[in-house]
Amino acid sequence: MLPRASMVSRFLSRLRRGGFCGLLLIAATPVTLCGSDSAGLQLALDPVNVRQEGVVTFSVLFLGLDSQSSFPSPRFQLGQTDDQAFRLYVDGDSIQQIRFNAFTFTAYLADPKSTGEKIYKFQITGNPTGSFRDAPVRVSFHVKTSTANATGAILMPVYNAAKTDLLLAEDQKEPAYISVSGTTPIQMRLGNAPDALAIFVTEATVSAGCPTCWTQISSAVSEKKPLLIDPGTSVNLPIDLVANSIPALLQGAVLIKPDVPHDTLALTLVYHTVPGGADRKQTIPLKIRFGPGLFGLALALCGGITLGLTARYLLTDKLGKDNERALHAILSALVLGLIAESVGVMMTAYGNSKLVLFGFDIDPRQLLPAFILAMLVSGGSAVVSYAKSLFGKP
Amino acid sequence: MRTMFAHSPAVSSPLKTPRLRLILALSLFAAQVGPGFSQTRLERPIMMDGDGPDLFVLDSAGTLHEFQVAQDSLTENGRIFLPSTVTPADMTYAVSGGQRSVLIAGSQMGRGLVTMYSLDGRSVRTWNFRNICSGIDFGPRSHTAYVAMSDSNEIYRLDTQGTESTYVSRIPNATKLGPLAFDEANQIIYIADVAVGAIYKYSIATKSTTVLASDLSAPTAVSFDPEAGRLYVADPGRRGIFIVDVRSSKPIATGFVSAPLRSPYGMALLSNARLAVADYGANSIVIFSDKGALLFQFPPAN
Repeated sequence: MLPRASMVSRFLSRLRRGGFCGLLLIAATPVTLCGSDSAGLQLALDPVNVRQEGVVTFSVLFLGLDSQSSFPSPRFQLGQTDDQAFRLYVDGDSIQQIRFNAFTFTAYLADPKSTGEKIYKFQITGNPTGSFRDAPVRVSFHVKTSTANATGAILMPVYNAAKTDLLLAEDQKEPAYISVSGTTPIQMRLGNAPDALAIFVTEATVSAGCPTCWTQISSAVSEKKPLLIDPGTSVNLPIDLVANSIPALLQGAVLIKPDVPHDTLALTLVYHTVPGGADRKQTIPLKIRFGPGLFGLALALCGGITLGLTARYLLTDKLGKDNERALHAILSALVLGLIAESVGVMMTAYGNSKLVLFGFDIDPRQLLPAFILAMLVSGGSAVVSYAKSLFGKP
Repeated sequence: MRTMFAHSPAVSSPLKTPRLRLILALSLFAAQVGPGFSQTRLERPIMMDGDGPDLFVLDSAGTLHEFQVAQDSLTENGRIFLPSTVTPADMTYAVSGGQRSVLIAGSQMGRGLVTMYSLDGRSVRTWNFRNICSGIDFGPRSHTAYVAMSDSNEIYRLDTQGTESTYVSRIPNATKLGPLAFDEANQIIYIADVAVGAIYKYSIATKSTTVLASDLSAPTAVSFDPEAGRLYVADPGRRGIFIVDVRSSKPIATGFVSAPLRSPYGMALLSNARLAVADYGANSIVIFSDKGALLFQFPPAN
């Protein structure tokens, strides 16, 4: 908190300023504070410390008496002085986060004890400093009349443009797998800090590192259908991705290490806090690996098994072991290939294991590795030995 | 590839044939780089400055739009995309050494900077500051620009033909300096305090500061008309434009226009005694006469 003396000095300076305004600016406002109608009523808001991360100071401009009589919730936030003599209403619809990192809103001060209940209209500007995030805070206010000085408090939102990236995005431990055939829905987990204001995500745009690898990327989020993230919660942002098959497969073929993304999407989210927050942008990287899909993987397996068996036959003049029938050898190769591929996928997808072939860390979910794996399994020791002589120790 | 989710036909419908892709790519290319294109997307104008028939508008997406101002319409001639790492605070149009440019004041990584961009989008020159830059204005005769600092309440002078920046003054008792306007003939800087709603008048000759007006809420743009001796002030808090007669012995801020403005963030004087206002809340640019009559707006109202 700021020193009490500073608050008092600020309050007094506002009082002086009110007098100055009254002398200088009679034509600017319908009613001036020094006019007899307002009976010298003054409103001041104390500076507020927001979670030790920054301070908001306020300036108050009297706009005149107002005829508004209804202050429905939730549009209007209500605060009251301790002696219940005055009620302060903050109009949530009037909040604007403006340039130069400030925000402004309209407030109404009701004086129920006066004849006919006078309503005083004020424009209040908040000046944030520090690095706090937009949050609801309790702000003390003072109402001074010629006869009394009342103090109250109101819970109201404060804003700070200096704090960027309000969305909490989970770090991607490994790239998301996107099938090169059909639509792959993915969920991006987005969170909001506790004790903050709710967030509306209103737009999502994307930049792809490999533009030709995509035919469609879509999200249902829009200004008309925003995604609400309440304070202290996380929600999923659904995104539908459709890869462009051939460029995506080619992109995947050259990057076989399983932890290297085939493409990194830059997801830019436009969002604002509610009520009243200004639009912000936050870019979140989304690592992608393309997968051939079940059909593609099956084709690669069949191709690999065929090539392995052919190579075995060429190297040994046999499809299987001595006296093994051809059909039995083919079926054995098919079953072993399937088992090897399944074990490889399970190990790399759900465990922390790596599949290393000829010194290369490979991903069995990709076309080429699946093809090679099937070829080596179906080809047996003859093909493995031959490959070893070409590439080194498997 | 920059793709707009769910809004762009380029991605919301799969591209089936190479011919269709080619047609679409060509049409998108024309829509983005062709001169005089009509499908301009203005994403909430924040600040603006102009030079007679030309108006430069920076929107919340960080795109600087160049408009040609006709009698009753605006036509976009081009656009520049500012680096996303820069947080712009204010801008001014400048002609220095025969080169037309735009000076953008703001911050990057918590430090202040002013960058001069040529109209083809090149960064020509940069001035770095320890504090956050806020308002900026340019004097064409002296080729100097004045820039305010919002966190130290200082003013610096920039030599736009060189790389020097010179400390000018600090406005005492100011809370947060925002936009400024430079009266080059009289060597006076009018500068707004966004936090307390005041306008200060700083005399370069006498190095003195006085309060010109203080009954504003949150002045976010000021423009000085030297012929009329008028200072225009945009105040989104009071949802209007105000004028201050600086020649008056007791200057006061009086209402100039209010309706239909929702959040007047930026402002610029145009040729033929017109005033352009960037209405952030309405996502439009509104053109007024010097009498306050609404002439037209962009995009045109349906």
